[in-house]
Parts: sequence; C-alpha cells; structure tokens
Amino acid sequence: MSGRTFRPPSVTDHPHAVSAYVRRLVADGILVSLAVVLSIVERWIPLNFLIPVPGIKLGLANIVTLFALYRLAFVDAAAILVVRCVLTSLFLGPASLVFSLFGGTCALLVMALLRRGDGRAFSVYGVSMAGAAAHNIGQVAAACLILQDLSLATSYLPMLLLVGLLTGIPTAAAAVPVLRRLKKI
Amino acid sequence: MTFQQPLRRTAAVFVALATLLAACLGFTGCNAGVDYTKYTYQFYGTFDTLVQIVGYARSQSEFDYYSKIGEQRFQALNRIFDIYSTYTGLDNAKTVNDNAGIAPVKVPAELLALVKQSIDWYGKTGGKCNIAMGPVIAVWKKYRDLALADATKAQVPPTAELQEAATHCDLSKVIVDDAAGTIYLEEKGMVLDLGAVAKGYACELVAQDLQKAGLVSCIVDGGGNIRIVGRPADGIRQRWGVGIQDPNADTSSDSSAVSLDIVFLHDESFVTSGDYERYYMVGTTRYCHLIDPVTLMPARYFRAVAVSYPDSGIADFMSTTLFLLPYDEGRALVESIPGMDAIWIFDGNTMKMTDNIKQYMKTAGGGSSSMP
Amino acid sequence: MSATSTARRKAPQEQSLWKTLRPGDVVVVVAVVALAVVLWSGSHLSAAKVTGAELVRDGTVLRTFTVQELDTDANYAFESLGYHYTIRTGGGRIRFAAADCPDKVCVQTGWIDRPPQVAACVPGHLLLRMTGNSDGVDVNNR
Repeated sequence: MSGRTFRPPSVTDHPHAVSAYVRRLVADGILVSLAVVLSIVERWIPLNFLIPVPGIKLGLANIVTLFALYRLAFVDAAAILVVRCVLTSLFLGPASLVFSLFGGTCALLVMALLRRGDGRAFSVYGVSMAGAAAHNIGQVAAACLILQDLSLATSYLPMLLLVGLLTGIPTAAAAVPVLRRLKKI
Repeated sequence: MTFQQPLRRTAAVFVALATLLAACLGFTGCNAGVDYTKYTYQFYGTFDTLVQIVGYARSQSEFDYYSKIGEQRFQALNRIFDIYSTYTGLDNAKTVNDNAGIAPVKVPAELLALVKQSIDWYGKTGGKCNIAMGPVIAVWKKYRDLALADATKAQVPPTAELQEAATHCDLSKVIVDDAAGTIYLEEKGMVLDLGAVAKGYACELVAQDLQKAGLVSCIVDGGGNIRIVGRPADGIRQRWGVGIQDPNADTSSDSSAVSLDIVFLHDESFVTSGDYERYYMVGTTRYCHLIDPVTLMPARYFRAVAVSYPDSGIADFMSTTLFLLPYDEGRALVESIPGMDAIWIFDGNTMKMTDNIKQYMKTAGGGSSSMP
Repeated sequence: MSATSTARRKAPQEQSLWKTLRPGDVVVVVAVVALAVVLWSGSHLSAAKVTGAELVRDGTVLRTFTVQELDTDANYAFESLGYHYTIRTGGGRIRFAAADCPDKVCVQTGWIDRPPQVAACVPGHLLLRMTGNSDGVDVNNR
C-alpha cells in the first residue's frame, strides 16, 4: 500500500495506469473538500459545554488524514493536509494557519509512524488518539513560539493531551466504518 | 492474553477509558479550585513566648474553632509545667518543687510523662540536658534579670554561688512513681526546671490534639518550637517552608525576614536552641540561658542548633543537648538516633548539618516545597 | 495453535484495524497520560504564594498587576496587534473579560487566580499569567 508511486503517467503507460492516476487525483480532491467542510463544521459543535477546556476541538478533519494514510499514501495525506490548512485559513482567518499546519503536521507524522505495521501494534483508535495528542503538542508548540513563552506547555498542554485522548476516540470511530467499506480506491 | 476481542468488548474498554480520563480531567479541575486558605493565630501568655498556629482551613470560623482548642490546651499545659505560680486545684511543677525533701506529689499525667521522658533521654544522651538543674538556672536567671533591669549592674554569677547550687542538681534523686502517679524530689533545695523541654512537649501534645480535632494541615509554633502537621493544604505545595533565621537578626515572627536558608518539611518538628533568645551581656561577652552542667557556664560552641525529628518534645530536649555538646560529639549522637537530623549554626553564620537534611534545604541542597 | 499464530503473523490484520484493541493502544494511552502528568506536576506543584499577575507580549512584560490590584474590582483596556481587550480584576483573580480577537480562547479561559495558571490570546500575542513566589517561608525558627 505504501509502495505506490506518485508520478504523472506518460503516453507509454498502460491505460489502466492512467486511469489509476486520475482516480487518485480525484480522490485527493474529494478528500480535501471533505476535510475543509469538517474543519468548518466542527467549530459549530459546542464541545466546551461537555469539557470545559478553552479552545478545544474534536479534530474531525483528522478522519480524512487517517483515511488517506490507510487507503492512499503518505504523500496524499500530506498534500491533503497542506491544501486543507491553506483553504481553511481563507474561511477562518490567517491566524489559524500556523496552528493547523503545526498541529496537523505533528499529527500526520506520528500517525504515519504508528500506522506502519498494518494494525499489528496499533488499532485505528490508538493511531487516532496518538494523532490527536500530537496535534495538540504541535499547536501548543506553535503558540509557545508565537508568544515566546513556555508556560502554556505546562499550564495548558496537560489538559489538552488528556482531551486529545478523548477526542481521538470518536474520530477513529468515524473513520472505522469508512475504512471498512472502502477497501480500495 | 490476546487483544482479539469482539467489538462490543473493545467499545466497553474504550468507554471505561474515556470515563477514567474524564475523571482525571475533573480531578485536575477540582484541584485547581481548592478552597483552603492559610490562617494564622498568635497569642502571648504561655511559656513566656509568642505562640502561633498557622493552618489551612476552609473558613476563618473553622480556623478560629481550632485555634481556640490550641490556645486553651496551651494554657492548661502552661499551668501544669509552671514552676513560678501555683493554681488552686492543680498540683503542678511548682507544687513538686515546694515539696522537695518533704513528700511525693501526685501530678497530672502530662507532667509525669514529661519528667519520665526527660530522665529517660538524659540517660540515653550522655547527661547534658538535666531538668533538675533548677537551682543553677535560678542563679543565672537572677543575674540576668538584674542585668536586664540595669545594664550597669551586669555581672557573672560568682563561682561559689553556682557550685553551691550545683550540689542540688542530682537527677537520680528525682523519683517518679508510675503506679502512684507521683513525683518526689528527695532532697531539700532541689528544683525542677522544665524550661528546656516543656515548650516542645506542649507543642507536641497540642499538635496531636489539633490533628485529632480535624486540623490536618498546620504548624504549631511555640516560640520557635515548630511542630508541623501534614502537608500544606493549598493543593500546590508538598512541604512547608521553615526559615532559618540569622542569629544576628531581630527576633520576630515576620516571615519576610531574610533567612539563612529554608528547610522544607512535612509531619516533622524543627526545634532550635540559640544563644540569642534569653541572654545578657557583661561588657562585650554574651551569657545565654543554656548552661553546661559541668562548667556551670553558658556553652559557646555555636550560635544555635536546630533539631529535626518527628516528636517535638524529643526535638526540644535534643536541641538543648546538642547546644551543650561539641560538634563532633553532637553529630555522632544525632547520627545514632534514627530519623533525627540537626543543623549547627556557628559564629559567622556558617552552617553544618547532617547529610539527610541537606536535600530538604533550599540553599544547601536545592530543596523545594514541591518535593514529595 | 501454531497454525493460527503463523496465519496471524502472515496476514496484515485488516480486521484488527477496527475490531480489536491492540497492545500499542494501551501504550499510547499510558504514554500520553504520563506526559500530561509529568508536565502538570512539574509546574503545578512548585508554586505557592501569589505575588501578582503580569501581561506579556512577545516575551516582554507590558503591565504587572499587584496583589492589591487583583483584589480590587476594575477593568483595564489594552490593544494589541489591532485587537482590543478588556482585562478584569477582582477577588484576587484576573481574566480576559472581553476581546475582539478571532477565536476568543482568551475569554473562554475565564478567571485565573494562582500560579502557574495563564490565559493566552495567540492572535494578539498576549499572555496573562499569575506570578508567585514558589518557595515561601511559613514560619521562622527562633
């Protein structure tokens, strides 16, 4: 799965290879639009009423990253992430770009690492929870860089980490049925 | 154990995990909002010193309730150990002294226990802190009072007077009858003086009372006899900070005074004997209240010695003993007693301490209030 | 027994992606909780006496609030990077009471009243934090 090539097809390629490439491009595009919508929609969910920690999110866009990692390849997941972050910042303002990029990249790297082994060591739940925790670490790291102060890391991050373990579960639960039904793209 | 379980059981595990995490979050949230406040109550009138109770309580009225208990207990104990006044209906230390060479006196259990403990530890520690030294201490007190009233009349007690007094200081002639609950001074002219041990013993008893009453996070401070109960209930610190005062600084309870070092403790007592508490000057020489039973003169090895030990009564006894012992002998003695530590403060404020306590000291060992 | 374990090792456990809890998942939970506890205890156990609060931008202290100021009910207006903030004090606490920044996380944080608590507004680069003297003296020996 991870051995897929990522190069445009040439005229000498078999017609099936061309169509595979196009299918993949289309899939990436659909996933980008899905991720953008999820990023915006999750801001409407009043999670703060449930868990009183300021600034927390469900991380629904992580479903897309998870799916891309399991069913496409690392490059697809990375590309989708970057495009999603840029597009989202057009809707939600530029201030969020640094955070979503930092957090998203951390989550992507950790999840790509844990995903290796095809479920022998980690289930989707474990990968998702680790991703959520990594996402929070990345975001707080970005905030610490911007504020030039480390106190958020000790005062705020511990709570975010625990919240990440919680929010990682519904994210994985949402990704699981999709992964089950869409075995091949 | 395999992890291949049906989906339902997996879900159950996750729900349990989620609940646990939520509980963790709730716990940290609650912890941040602990509503314990630190209160202080100070009073004079017992043991010739300022006594203060510092403790964490949920309200002023709750703390007032405890501090009242503490103050009343201090007053009761002060009457029992008093050697200067008699009280109707109470046979106290003065009653015992008044009956020296006459008759055994049935005394309250606290007095009996303190005298027994002091005799017991006198034997264990080479006989430096003697509660039967009353006659000698009385001589020094007379000259100190004279000097404090009129500094031009300050003088050292004549050797003959001290030596005469010392002939009535045999601790083996203090007879404690456990069964009858009596104390008898066998010889006329003998005087018990509990000054070196009563304060610490009282702090121990009051601390235990307060703990039983429900004040589980407090300090009972009887003029520097510090008895610590529990850990600070502020939800933040693990240990209380005890400042070691500069012997040359003004003695006051002001905690903002600059300290030589800070010792971080919990469930421990910390008792100091120093030459700066009760003394007088003859010319440029300082004469403090801690008298060596052999030379009959004040000891001059250190400015102060502090002892850390769970029981404040023992710590008080030992701080006097160590003040009267040369450093090497004192250190060997402390190291032979499990759970005991000491800090010696020399002239010029250099400090030596037993190895174990170093880690709890801010400057000497990098200790902090967050240590477990 | 050996047959099944060989089969298990050979085939990628697609099923286990969603049907089972894997040992690694426990490791993830334990590791994240441990990290959280370490970070939390490292700071929350050390501070003690409140000495005030301070408003910091990009590592520079803009304004300090004394304990007396924290005890007094008052509002303070600040502007940072084009955003406007109202900081409120009272009862020994301090908070962002209002802000026109995009995410309002600073306002959501609410009151803070003891170190090492902080309230931060990342868009405006503002950090409001309680300050404290960590190793206070409760009593002195005498």
